[in-house]
Amino acid sequence: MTGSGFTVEMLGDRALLVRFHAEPSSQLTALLTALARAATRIEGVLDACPGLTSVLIETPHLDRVEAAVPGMMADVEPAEGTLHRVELTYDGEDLEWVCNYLGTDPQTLITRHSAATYDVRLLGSPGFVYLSDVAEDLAVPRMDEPRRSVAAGSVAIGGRQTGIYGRPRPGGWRIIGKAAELPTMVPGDRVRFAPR
Amino acid sequence: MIRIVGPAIATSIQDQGRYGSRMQGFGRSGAMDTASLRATNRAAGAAAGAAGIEFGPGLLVVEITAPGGTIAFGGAFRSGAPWWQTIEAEPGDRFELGSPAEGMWSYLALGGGVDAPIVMGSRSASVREGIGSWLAPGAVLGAGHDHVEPQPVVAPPMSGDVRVYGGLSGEFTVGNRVDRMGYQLEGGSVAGGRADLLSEPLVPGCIQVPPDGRPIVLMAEGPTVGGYTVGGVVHSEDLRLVAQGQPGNRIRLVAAGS
Repeated sequence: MTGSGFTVEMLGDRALLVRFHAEPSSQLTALLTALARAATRIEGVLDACPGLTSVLIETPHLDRVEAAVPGMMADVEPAEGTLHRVELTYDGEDLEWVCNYLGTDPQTLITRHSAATYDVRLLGSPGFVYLSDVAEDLAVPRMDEPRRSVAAGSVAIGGRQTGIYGRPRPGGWRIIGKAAELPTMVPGDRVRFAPR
Repeated sequence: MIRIVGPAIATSIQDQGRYGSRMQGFGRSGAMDTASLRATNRAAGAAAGAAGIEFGPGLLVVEITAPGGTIAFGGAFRSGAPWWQTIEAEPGDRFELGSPAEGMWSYLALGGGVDAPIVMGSRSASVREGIGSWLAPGAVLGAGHDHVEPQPVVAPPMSGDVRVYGGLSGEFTVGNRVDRMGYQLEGGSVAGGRADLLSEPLVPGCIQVPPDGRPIVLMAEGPTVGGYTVGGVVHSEDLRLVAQGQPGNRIRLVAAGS
């Protein structure tokens, strides 16, 4: 099924993926999050969540729920998410490497990284918070060989993406800092890092 | 009550899975072979959705420590206990279950279900997400309150063709990298996929195709989002057949009818 700017695909026999033909953005994440919330209120829907440009809806009733998608699209009202302040110690394993790569010094990097407000785009298991992009001139390549385990609380940059490791897991992004405490975040929320 | 004297590989409490917590970044988890757990629960006298003990390859030794209750074993067959049958367990009874000749995952169910804290709607352990733990020697588990009358059960088939939506088909061999997160398949001739797509949601059963062309079937604790090419999705009823494949087993993927 195709609607204005989106396509509904079957992801097997128990899930639908509503794909939007758009680039990731704050507005899109707000829409996807609202749509996922609306989907969970449909009878027979087991779970729903946003991706970067899509919404997953888990249900055994594919046809009925697919038919309900256009109506949901008309009704949803994107809400503004919570703004979280996350205290961050900029002492990550890769901070020096990142500064060398970018040709900058730690103080400048810290000032610039903490000056932006990031959107929580999506959460991945186990416990990874995908945030919106860093400025183009703060992008760094991922590691060739990912670390076997990255500590919980690590904040890292991979390409233009930045994210928070909420749980220990393997990862190949460049670690710039550690957060002592993480709030509970959901897609559509926003994050400001406070250097400490 | 039952005591784990010696756990097998990946011994944990599982039920039919956790739904409704994806927004917070938590996946489904749950039994690798949900149909076998349901049937084992029925034989033991527990509701279909109750939790049981899932155990992988290796020796499992358990001991009954308190009177009153039925238990049952099911899933991948092992020597050392009646299989798919209601057992009236007595204190002091000890069961030593050998590693399965065929299949990977077996279940021990208690009448009333295995009691464990409900986290976001499910008793399933998901160790990587920080929910529950692998069961260690000495762990003591009690029965819950999801009692039903124990019933004779028909063992679900443990092998067969695996229906796949969305293209991928053919003969494969189960690789050595198999766990509750995913099963790597080898021996097919699959064109390498991409690893740089936008991160979009995934469900258990999605088949990721990395650039090396060796597909990975995502399992109960698989990633919930990913940026690899998805080459197909396994039919929800057949994912358990993949899960029961041992490394080296042949597996045939066939197109699912629409």
